[in-house]
Amino acid sequence: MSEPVPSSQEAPSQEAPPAARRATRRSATGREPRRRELAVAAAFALPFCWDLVEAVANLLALLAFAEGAGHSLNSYAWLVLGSAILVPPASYAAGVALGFAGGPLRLAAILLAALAACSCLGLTLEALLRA
Amino acid sequence: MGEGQVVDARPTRPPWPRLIARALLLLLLVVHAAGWLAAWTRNPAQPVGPIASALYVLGQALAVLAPLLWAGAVLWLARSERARLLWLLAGVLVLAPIPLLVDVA
Repeated sequence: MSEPVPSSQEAPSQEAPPAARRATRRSATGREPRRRELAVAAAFALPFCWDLVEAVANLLALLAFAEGAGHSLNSYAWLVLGSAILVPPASYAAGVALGFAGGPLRLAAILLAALAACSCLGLTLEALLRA
Repeated sequence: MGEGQVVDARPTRPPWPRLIARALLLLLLVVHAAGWLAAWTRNPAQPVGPIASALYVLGQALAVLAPLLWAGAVLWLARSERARLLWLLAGVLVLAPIPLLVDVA
């Protein structure tokens, strides 16, 4: 008697690697797990957007201040303020890229660490501008 | 495998140099958290308005927690000891409390 050939529709065995089990579960249950990850990513997008708005507002305020004083911003100020604008979207994109495949809990942990690192970098750039 | 051999089922521990490196990097991250706390107390910035002030304070609190959150995330999520050490080193470099150094300078 020949051995039954396992089909691709079968439930994953416990011996399968976690990534394979996750992938099969995802295909079996539709888009539900991915929806959770998208919800986590959307929830974390708000504070990152706030950081971005704050950085743009700082740039605009300093531009107006410099224009009022009859000067223009020097290259150091442009470098620091431009970096402050780039940091929030870059941190968010890196967090999503690193954590999206690992499930909603891991994504939330990575995005929280990325948001905290973004705060550190923002305060660092602010201190460099003040110096 | 011979019958006389015994299989050690305990999880393998990383070698001592890596354990020491990991402990040093974690210690540095804790020192960074203390540095951010000191930088918070010396920060002269005062945003205008209650919402802006509250969000600024929240940002500073997050900056204090950042090294600890980073360390926790790395210890939890990194899959190999090498990756763990590299991410911890990146955290030590990225999360250095530079505002404190700038104020002191």
